[in-house]
Amino acid sequence: MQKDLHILNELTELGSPLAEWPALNVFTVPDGYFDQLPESILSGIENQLNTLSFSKQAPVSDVPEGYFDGLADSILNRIKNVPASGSILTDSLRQASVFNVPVHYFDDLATNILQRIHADEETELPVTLQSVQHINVFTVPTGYFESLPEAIQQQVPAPAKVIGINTQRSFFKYAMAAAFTGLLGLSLFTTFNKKDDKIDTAQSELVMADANLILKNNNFDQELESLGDNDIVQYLQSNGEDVKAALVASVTDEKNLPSEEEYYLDDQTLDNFLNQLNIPQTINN
Amino acid sequence: MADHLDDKELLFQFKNEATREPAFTRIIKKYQEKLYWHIRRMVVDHEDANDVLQNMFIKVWKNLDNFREDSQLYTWLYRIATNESLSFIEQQKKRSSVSLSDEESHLSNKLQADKHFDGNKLEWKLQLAIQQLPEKQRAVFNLRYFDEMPYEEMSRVLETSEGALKASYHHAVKKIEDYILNR
Amino acid sequence: MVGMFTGVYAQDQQPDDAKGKQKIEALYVAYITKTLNLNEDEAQKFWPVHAQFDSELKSVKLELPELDRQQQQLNIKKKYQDRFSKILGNDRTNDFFRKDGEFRKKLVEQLRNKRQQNNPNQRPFKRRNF
Repeated sequence: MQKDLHILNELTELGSPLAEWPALNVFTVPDGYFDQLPESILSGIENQLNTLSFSKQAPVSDVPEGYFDGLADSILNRIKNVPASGSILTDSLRQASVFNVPVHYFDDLATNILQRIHADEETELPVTLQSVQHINVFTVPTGYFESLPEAIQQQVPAPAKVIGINTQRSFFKYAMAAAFTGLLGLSLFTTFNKKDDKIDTAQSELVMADANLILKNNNFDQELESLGDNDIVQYLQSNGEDVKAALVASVTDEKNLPSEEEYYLDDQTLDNFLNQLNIPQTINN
Repeated sequence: MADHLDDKELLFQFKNEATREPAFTRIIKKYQEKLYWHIRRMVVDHEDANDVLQNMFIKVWKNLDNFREDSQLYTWLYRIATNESLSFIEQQKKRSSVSLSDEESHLSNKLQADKHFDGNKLEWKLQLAIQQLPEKQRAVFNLRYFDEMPYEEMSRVLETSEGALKASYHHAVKKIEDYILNR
Repeated sequence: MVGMFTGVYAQDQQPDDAKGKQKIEALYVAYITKTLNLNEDEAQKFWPVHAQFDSELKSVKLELPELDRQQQQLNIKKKYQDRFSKILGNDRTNDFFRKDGEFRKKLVEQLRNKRQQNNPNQRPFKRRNF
């Protein structure tokens, strides 16, 4: 391929080695490519037009008679009418048989398609469907919608500031607890349903905060030891426990046996235990 | 309690912590019925619809701050409601590990279990027909047929092109018509 | 055996009953949470349900004939077994009911130990592990 003189000069001026190199076309096309190209372009276009149709049954009313038949020719004609550009592609196309395209084909194409879209916008409802369109078969329990907003509101985490149940005394605990709620994810204000009257929410929140603290500080035993007798008794009784019976039972409970480590640590341990059980010495023989 | 407050005003009040809860309540009151019925038509059962609706509003509470107001509040709410309904249906499928055709009859059964079900009435046949559709198509049909939603809005609710929605609706109508005429 | 536990009450008066109760409840929550290995999500779901469980149990009249009382409590426990299972699964729900009893035993032990400490006639016996 001969380079254009202007181009050559420009390259030389730029001092580019490209000026010297032969202008070779490295790319190849399959044999006969350009010969059958117009046809393959056309069938591509026809396919496109087919997929644009929304309904195969809809009458093709706004397209002239024999439109598709002459389409291939029309298109090639248009290409043929484009002035020479020096491009191999269009040059060879020009040599092929030409297609005819209506004068404003491409201009009108968008509008035509849109018209077909709008034609389908109101999908015709069959009469049967029209007749029941506004009948609602479902029912809701009475008062459902009236109580719904509150039901939803209760489940929504409320901002800490809005809750006004802080008393002077428990404020510190709340502040402390707020720092520790992350531990168990026992978020103060979402764990309990605010409106559940049977459960004292404020009290529960304090308990949760305390529990978080115990877990964080890992001081369960300490806290357990610090409990007062009375409190334990009251707690157990309120849970329906017969405290005296339980105490008796606990002495003989297998789980109360000293652990292995404790045997080794303390000679007295076993003696102590046996003493408490008041097991007659004769059994040990 | 005149509901003349438009959505912009409601959103503004929501963003302000002091007025957040009352604003939220107003939003619920304004849209609860429309959203409920949309959900109900998808999941059929009242209890399920109630669950989905409440979960949906909790999501709204958590995400309304992020709502960019480039579309209508209504559209955004519908989108969440639809997604929640579709997720719920998916979960149900997995939980009962039923095949697709069984799932269709699962909802049909729920329909027929309704106190007022009457298989002879056209409006109930229609519901049975609707449950035969794949769930996304069901949503399209319901939104267009019952809610008369414009396609432009629907495309934002379902995040699908208008063209696809129109085609889907068109086919849905055909399928439903077939079902009704042939059963 | 019963005799050795009398007369101890007077020595251990707690000024604030509510505080003690609160602490025990907190110990319970901590104990259950730890021994069942409740994660955040489970804890969030479990404790509100447990609160209802607890309040129902407490509503059973203590004056009822023993077996009737126990029966009612058992019914409530069975009822909540389902609800707990939805959150924790069957095995851990079983564990829960076991641990619930374990906690009481711990309290009883603690009570016994305390009283033995206060009664120097008896040799002390301590459990050391949590």
